[in-house]
Amino acid sequence: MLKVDRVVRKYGDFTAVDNVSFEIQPGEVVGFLGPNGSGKTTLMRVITAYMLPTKGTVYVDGLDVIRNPLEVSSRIGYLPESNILYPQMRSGEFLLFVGRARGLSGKRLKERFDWCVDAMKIAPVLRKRNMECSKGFKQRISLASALIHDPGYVILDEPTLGLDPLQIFMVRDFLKLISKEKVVLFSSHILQEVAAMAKRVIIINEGHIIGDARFEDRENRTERLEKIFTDAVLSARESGGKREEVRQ
Amino acid sequence: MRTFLIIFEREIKAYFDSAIAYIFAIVFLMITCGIFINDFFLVSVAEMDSYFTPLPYLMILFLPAVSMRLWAEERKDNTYELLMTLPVKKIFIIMGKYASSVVFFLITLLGTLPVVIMLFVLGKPDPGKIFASYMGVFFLGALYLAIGIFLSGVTGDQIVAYLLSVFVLALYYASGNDMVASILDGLWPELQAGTFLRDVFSAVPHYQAFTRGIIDLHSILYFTTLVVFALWLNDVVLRRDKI
Repeated sequence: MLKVDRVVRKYGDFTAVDNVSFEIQPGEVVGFLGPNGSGKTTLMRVITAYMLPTKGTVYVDGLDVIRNPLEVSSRIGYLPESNILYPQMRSGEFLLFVGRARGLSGKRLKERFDWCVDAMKIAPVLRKRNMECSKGFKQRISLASALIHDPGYVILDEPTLGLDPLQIFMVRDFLKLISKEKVVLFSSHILQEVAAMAKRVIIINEGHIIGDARFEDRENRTERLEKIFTDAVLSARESGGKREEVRQ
Repeated sequence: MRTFLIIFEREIKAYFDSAIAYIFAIVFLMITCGIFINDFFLVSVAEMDSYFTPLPYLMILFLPAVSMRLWAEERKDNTYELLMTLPVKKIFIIMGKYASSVVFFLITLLGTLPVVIMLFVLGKPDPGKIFASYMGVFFLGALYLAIGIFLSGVTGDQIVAYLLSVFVLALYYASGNDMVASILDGLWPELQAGTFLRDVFSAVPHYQAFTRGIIDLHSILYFTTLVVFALWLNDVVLRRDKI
């Protein structure tokens, strides 16, 4: 289980994330929806132990991210928003580098490497330098590197950014596939994307969680989410950041 | 140790994957050996003093070009986030990067071996003195690179990292200059700050001891301590980024 417990993250005097709490159970695909600059990336960085929270903490499998950052990192596969590929490295070499740096070796490394190449369909570019790959392939190689160690928690910051529609469908299907036994948290500022990929949507605005909606079925999900999002933003403006729990 | 080796391997490959490494090695060897050969044919003495004397100054210009990329490039390419979320102690990443820069410098230094061979063919130089001088270059270079990696960690711009390193190294090495020491002593006679900096803080006396053929444990400890301190500072900078 992933538990975000009253997390506050400040940059100097600016509060990027303000007293945020939620829990995610294994098997859940949760979309993090919010406009640019709402605090999604900051919160993801705190969850992945890249940054320390100013107050509060995050528990991953019961491990405190402040006290056990390395153990938490080993359980998480993280895809940052920005391209994380070494431009000069060949794609296959990069994937092996990340796998080895994450403690894999021998047969296990080969198994995971083959699985990632197959799942992400990146075999055609394995010998190419990362900088020579198309944006879509770069994103898929990055995603493969986030999954090479078979993490129980997958944190993806804008995973469909820069992908064409076919590639977006591929990522959607892939998230469905891996979500059966994993915690998947992804962020997006595109409402339709979140509606298509997540059964639960956490809405964040100006560092506050202003809505937490669950969808039992797919029918009119985009329209319903649009309404929830609009209501939550308007309500937050009136009340100064009140949280809304919605079950559809 | 495993992390150290993985990072080291990646970094050393990265050096030889970029044209800058080859340009650095060629220009460094051309300038340092060029200055020496010019003096050698004028003086006609089979020794390398005129090679090792200007080297600390030239290294101030050249070694920051080796260290500037170590962190600044990671930040520019956004791979910093990848490294910082790996489940490994960051000091091993620092050490892997640092060791790769030192090894790259040593490989470049191997390019000066023809000069040594030439001296042994033409005359009878003192092998002990040459060996000790190379050790001095190694230790001084290792310290410059350690300061360079620390300063590369404080900025996301390689040019800024380079200029900052050159500036800091120039100030540091100048602190061992007699003229600088006497100017500082003249400014605050009661403190004798210039003498103190030159005798206690500066690398100059330690480097000069090596070039005289003296391998002194005190000098080795001096360089080693400062290298460890600079790498620790680098670790502090990385930790500060998380806060």
